[in-house]
Amino acid sequence: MMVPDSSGLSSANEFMGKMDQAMDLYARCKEVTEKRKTVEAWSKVKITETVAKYKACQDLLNHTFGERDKALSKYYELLDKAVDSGDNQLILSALQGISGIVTSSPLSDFQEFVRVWDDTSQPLLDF
Amino acid sequence: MFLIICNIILIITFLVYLYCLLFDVDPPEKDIEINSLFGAALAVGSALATINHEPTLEERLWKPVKVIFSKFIGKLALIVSAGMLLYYAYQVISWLIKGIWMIISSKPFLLTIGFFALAGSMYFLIRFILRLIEENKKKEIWLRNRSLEDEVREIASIPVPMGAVTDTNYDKTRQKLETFKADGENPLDISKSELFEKRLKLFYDLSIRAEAGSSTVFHSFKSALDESEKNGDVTILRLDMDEANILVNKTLNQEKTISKYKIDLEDDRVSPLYDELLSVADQDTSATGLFGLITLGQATSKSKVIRKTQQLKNLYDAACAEVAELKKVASGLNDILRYTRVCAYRNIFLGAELLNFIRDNAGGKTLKTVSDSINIDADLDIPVFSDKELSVDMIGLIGSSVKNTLVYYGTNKKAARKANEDPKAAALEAGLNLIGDYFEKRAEVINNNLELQEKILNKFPAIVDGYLDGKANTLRAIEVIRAIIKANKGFVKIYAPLRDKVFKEGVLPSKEEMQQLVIATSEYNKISKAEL
Repeated sequence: MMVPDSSGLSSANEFMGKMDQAMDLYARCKEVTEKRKTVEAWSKVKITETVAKYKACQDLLNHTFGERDKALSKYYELLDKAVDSGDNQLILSALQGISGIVTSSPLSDFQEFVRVWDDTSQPLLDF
Repeated sequence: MFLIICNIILIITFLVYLYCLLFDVDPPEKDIEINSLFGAALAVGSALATINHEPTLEERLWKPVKVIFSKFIGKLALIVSAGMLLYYAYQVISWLIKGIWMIISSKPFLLTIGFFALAGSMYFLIRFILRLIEENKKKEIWLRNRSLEDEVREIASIPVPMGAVTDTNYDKTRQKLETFKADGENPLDISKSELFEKRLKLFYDLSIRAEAGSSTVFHSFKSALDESEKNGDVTILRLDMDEANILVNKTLNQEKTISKYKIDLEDDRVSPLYDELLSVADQDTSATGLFGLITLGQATSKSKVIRKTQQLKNLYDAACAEVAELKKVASGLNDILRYTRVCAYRNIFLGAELLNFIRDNAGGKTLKTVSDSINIDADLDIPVFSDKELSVDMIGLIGSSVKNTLVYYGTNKKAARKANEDPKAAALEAGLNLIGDYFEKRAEVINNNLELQEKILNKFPAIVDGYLDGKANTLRAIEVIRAIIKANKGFVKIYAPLRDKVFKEGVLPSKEEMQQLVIATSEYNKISKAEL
């Protein structure tokens, strides 16, 4: 019966050791690839959600404040004209118009919109 | 007798231990019990022998006998030593207990302890009583100040915000109030105009100072008050800071500033950042080229992952910079908002004052400003990875791998011999090690990058929320400030001619004019109370 010499055994052990190392390395690379795929998929969803929220809220802000600004600007023009001409009645009308708009804050509506957006259990439209 | 022997053994063991410790002598064989007297003695002997000369044949022959002998005797000595140590420990503890008990049971000790306990209790009691007294005093002072505010409101007929009377101005305010009381008792000694002037000065000094809050906001009002005190003329206190410009309908500096802020805010620099963020999210980071072909596109491209992290980080930094910029704008607007509200507060009081002067009434005592400001809460910090953790330093990696290989061959004689015999195989092994190190490091770097990407992306929603909330509040603040400035224009246009008529010419306004002033003041008041 052939008995393997000690140097042969040692080489075989070293070879097996290297193979183990290579397998470990392969597993690690595979693990990283899996993680990369998961993070990529997750980040797409996360970014899309974040950007969608930003755009929706930004549009709402632009629209709300834009509308209010238009209305207020008309009263400001009226007020300037009235101040120029010294028409006190017109000044009072402009002041009443301004106070009618400014005393109601659009922020509560905006905050409510953000709250409903964040709460996915609630529909944004209730019909 | 037995005790004496045991003691001697213990002392010798201890001395040998000491020798070993002091001269750093290691036992030559692991089997020898260094804890024992004989084991230690052998260790010392062998060590000394090793230092002086190579072991002789006789020593080599005796060595196993010594080891066996030392094992048996050494363990016996160890048991005896441990027993003796326990015995001495027992003796020491007994003496300590006896000594402590003697001290504790003595009268002076008990008295001392009693004294300290009493002194300690007294200290804590006195401290507690002092704290109670202090709190009570604070409460009394607080009540005293609030009570004076009520008195001022009632007697001087001016609005006084809570907190206007402080420890600093209490005496001065009390003194001024006493003069109002004296005037009330002898109404014929003071004219109506003088009474209103005194009231107006107190309103500036007490109410406006408190409502302004900061010296920056109070500055212009203080200048007017100082000038009025110097000239003895209150006309300046009834003038709007921008009256000359308002009456000719010139665009005010404040209007220009607010318009600038508005234009700056409408310039949307954030949306493009988020568009870019979407495109970065779509980036594929799988390996391409030869590596991608070999791995059938399954592997990850390290450089792409690093580039993506960097792009995300740049976008995150840019988004943070926008929030920081918004915070700066908000801070500037908060000051303007406060100043505008205080101006409105002063002017509405002036409107009420004029009506009170004509009608001999005392309205406007409950006037107050709205206390609000823009707050932007956004947590902008993200955990940072070092550049080393986010990229592979190839030169460093090769250097470290070569160093490790050299150390390995330098310390491992067998490996060194093998490398001498077959240098090609050794070089191949070193190369394989380097590749292994590279892939390990590469995986670590990709992993770190992915972790950082996750952390950055998890922070974005908070940034978006903080920015949107801040922007909404800032837009609203701009809206309110503009409205107050414009309303002030309208009010001044109606108020100024009437003021001059009444206080300068001493002519009463018509009913219609008074009605107009009432409506203007009321609308102005509504607008100035618009909250964010």
